[in-house]
Amino acid sequence: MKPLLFWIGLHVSLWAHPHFFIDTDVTIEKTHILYRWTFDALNSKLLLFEFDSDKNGVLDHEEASRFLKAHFYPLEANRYNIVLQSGENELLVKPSDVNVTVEKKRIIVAFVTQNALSKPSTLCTIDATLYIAYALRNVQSLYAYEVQKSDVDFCLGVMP
Amino acid sequence: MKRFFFVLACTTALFAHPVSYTINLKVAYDDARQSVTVECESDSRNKCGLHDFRLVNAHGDVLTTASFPFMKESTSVSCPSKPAKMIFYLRQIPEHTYEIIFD
Repeated sequence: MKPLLFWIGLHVSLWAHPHFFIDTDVTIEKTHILYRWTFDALNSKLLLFEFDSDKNGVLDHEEASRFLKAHFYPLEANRYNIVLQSGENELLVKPSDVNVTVEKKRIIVAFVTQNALSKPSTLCTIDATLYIAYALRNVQSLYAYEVQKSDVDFCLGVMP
Repeated sequence: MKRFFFVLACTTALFAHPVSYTINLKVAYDDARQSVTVECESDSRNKCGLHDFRLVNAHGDVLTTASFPFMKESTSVSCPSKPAKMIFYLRQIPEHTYEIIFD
């Protein structure tokens, strides 16, 4: 009975919006930008229940692939919820070295985009539909920057 | 039991829908400078930067198109004549629009 109530509670909570809450760490280097998305504890638990088939608390290669296919790569349709404008131009955001780990029972997706910022730039992580709320946790940047946060998204103004 | 969870998950997915957020817009035309100033306020202010806008004359002709900048409260674009209205639309979902009539 308890698992049933847990699942019903979990699903009812998902009707509230946004669906996912992600703590974000951003590292801006000379040739690339590193992103680290840490899923909230509740959704991590739910997602591990779904994708950690052998229930060992980690996502092995196959499990991680299934997870990324379901919850990360579909974001390509919305440019991975990342807007990067350098000067007047919007730059292509193409994640590489995508890696999924589990730390302290929270799912972490880390990836790199090969974007070198040479002009004053704006880097936003923002979901237009509010399915995913992104909170900025930490920034490391070679360049000076300013931050504009809301409850569900954030932008960085970067001055190379 | 698994079937029950599956049905529950599917039902949840069917109920999923995006949340609305507020967008408040002000427009003004400066005859001397021949420019339009657009102000955008939102409870999620970065959302303003996800929008482009068209300035349209009374015949429906597009006078100019521009993006609203991120991290700014307002933007100005040159426009040779006073527009009749502004269509402010979400770039990724262009059907999602706000229309503001110029006074």
